[in-house]
Amino acid sequence: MRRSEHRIDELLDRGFTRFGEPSQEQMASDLARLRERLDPVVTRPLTKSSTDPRHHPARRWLMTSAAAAGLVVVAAALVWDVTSKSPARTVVESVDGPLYRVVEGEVRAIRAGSSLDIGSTVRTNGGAGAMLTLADGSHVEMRSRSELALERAADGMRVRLMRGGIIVSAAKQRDGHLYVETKEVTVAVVGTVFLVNAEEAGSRVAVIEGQVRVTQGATEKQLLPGEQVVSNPVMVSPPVSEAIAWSRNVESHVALLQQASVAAPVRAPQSPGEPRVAFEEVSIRWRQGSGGGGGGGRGQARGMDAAGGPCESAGQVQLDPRRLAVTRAGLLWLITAAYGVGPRGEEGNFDVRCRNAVAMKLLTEGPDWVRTLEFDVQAVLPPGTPAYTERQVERGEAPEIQRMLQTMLAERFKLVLKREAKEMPVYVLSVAPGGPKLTPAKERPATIERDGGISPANPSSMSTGLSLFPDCARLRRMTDGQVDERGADRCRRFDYGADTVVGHIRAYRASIDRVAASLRRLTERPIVNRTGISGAFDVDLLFAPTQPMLAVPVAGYVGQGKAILSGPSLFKALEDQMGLRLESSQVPVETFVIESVERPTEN
Amino acid sequence: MRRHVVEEQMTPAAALRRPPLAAARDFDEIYRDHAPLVYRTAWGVLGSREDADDVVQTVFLRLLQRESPVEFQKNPGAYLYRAAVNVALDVLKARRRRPILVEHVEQLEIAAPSLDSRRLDELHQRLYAALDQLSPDAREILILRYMHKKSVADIGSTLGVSRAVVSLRLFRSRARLRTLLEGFAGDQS
Repeated sequence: MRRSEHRIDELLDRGFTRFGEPSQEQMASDLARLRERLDPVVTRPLTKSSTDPRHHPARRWLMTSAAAAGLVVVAAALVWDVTSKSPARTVVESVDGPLYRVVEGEVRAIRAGSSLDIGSTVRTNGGAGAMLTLADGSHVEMRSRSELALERAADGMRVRLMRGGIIVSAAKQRDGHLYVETKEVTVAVVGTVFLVNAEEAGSRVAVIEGQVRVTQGATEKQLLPGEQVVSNPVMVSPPVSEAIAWSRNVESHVALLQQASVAAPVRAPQSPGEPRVAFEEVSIRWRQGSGGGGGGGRGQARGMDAAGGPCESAGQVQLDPRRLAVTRAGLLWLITAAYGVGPRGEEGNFDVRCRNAVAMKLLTEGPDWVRTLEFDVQAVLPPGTPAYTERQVERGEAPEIQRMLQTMLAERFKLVLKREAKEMPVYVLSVAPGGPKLTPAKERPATIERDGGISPANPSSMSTGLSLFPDCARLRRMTDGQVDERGADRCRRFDYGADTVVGHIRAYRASIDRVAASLRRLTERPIVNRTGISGAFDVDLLFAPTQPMLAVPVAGYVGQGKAILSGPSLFKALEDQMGLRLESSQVPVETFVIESVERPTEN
Repeated sequence: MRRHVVEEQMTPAAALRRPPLAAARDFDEIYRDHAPLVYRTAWGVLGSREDADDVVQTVFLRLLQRESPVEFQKNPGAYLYRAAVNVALDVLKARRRRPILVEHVEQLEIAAPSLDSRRLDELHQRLYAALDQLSPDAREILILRYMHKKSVADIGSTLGVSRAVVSLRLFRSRARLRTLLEGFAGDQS
């Protein structure tokens, strides 16, 4: 008895303290912020009585229908503003949810058709977006949870973005200028379409059409379509097309981006007559990697965790505004980085892409040292190089740096590549005969469904792998009742779920290209997307986790006594649940054959 | 997707009739005194900063939107703590209805979560499923005792009940939990 008393105490101690304590600092700051958010509701009945002469009798208390919007709305009680008829010049064109105007700390709901004065601050809540038309005819689309102020600038107008994101379709400026400003950056506009985000970690500016000039402190950068800049290098940069996926005009924006990318292809560096795009200075050092069996090692030996091989880059890419450093990269890795070897839009950093390219024989030949030597590259970027992030470089979304790497390989390594098309096995993704069954992406509040590393707050987030699926009824429905015996038993025993292990692709606001990238990781074969479907979708695909890729973790769960979903297969699930078909096929892919290459002279 | 917290809709007229809760000064005092326990409780149940934020916001927003309940006037701390437990458990339940993504392909090569953390997750899940079957009184006491490590006397003063009542409820609810968690306790040995 005493022992079991002990045990229950221990279990309760461990179970109830699973997450430990929040840090005092974090709690204090969260509580202060929340208190501030409650302000409009707390002070309203006391300080703004009907006797206040500033208040119009037509104003009334309004309770937003938070339940319908599926949100907890902070400013639950608001003043409905129907008096705003002053000669304002910015007009609220449309709203799809509550839009608020903040006046002297008080929050008022405003409707489509209202005008806004210079000096106004407006705010969208979760689940709501809005479109404003500025005095000069420019359109500003606000995403949910955004706040901006309209200000006068010395030679025009300024939109100050406090938080959230906007897409500005700037009208041609006749006499003045339009500026968009965040805490960190200022964007000067000529006549263009671009995105500005004010995120917790910093600001992001991305161009959809035209050009913008971004100033951060003393540095100024010119951005072209498809390019983006972040004020803080730790911020990740999804492709511009994903960063704008929340927009109601996403399709026309993406079309603009595609036009721009067709007009400006990445050029080969050695073509005569082309300007030479090169690093200002390059230092290359090399050593024998572990793949080559030692000898001549300059650095310390590889650790246990580094597998070695021509595609590993132990130190990865480091980038600051003027310097690019790549440590312990094999030549194949450098070629992959420079030429983006592999199917277009392939997910994953260069380690993965390089391994895939080698495994699929997209990158072949060359002397033995190509597979054994490791290089440390330190390069100085010329002034005016766009401020790419490390992630952009790793994802092959930094065309300028790719061209500089190509030049470096041609000049220092005397690399000559033969590029040719080759037939290779792929899966073709197409629309199934019954038509697509896709769920268009919905804007959701950021506060729900953050589990599993994906969140509706991100412009596009996606997760591929295994889920412990707890909802028996839904599981049965989605998989034609193919829950195995153990799973069915769990369904009976626990009302809250079966804990059945399922293969799962889940995404918010994902393009079909991103879904294809997930399928590729699962099937370990390139996927060619021939659906022709554009737009962003919410995806929740369940399938039997039989892919070799998932075998190890699945075996782990079997060991723990978990049930494993036995059907449907990934192929059937795609057809039944998304109306898409995945078929084996052969397509031409560009391959790279190393014709000749020399060890570089060390500086 | 249904939101786990549903606010009642109130007509503007009803909102107008509603007497103000208290002066802002009073509210500040209440918030300062009780919001930390609401936050810590939500954190302890849910383990996420965003969820803790949501719970604090919901609890105080509801308070501000309702006619001051009698229970609140009697013992604001006990009322708000109970609200915190209820809202946090609601959020947890809503979360349980969703699948938990446990592995990402990108991460598979690196490491699967350790067995220990999985075991703790399972314990957490079982514990709260069991808690669901207890009375609100029992849940509140257990959380104060085991999550917040409060003494019997402290629990009594937070909830406004005598020490004897606390001891008795604690004894009973622990016994009930022992039965509910029996399988799990057995696995341990």
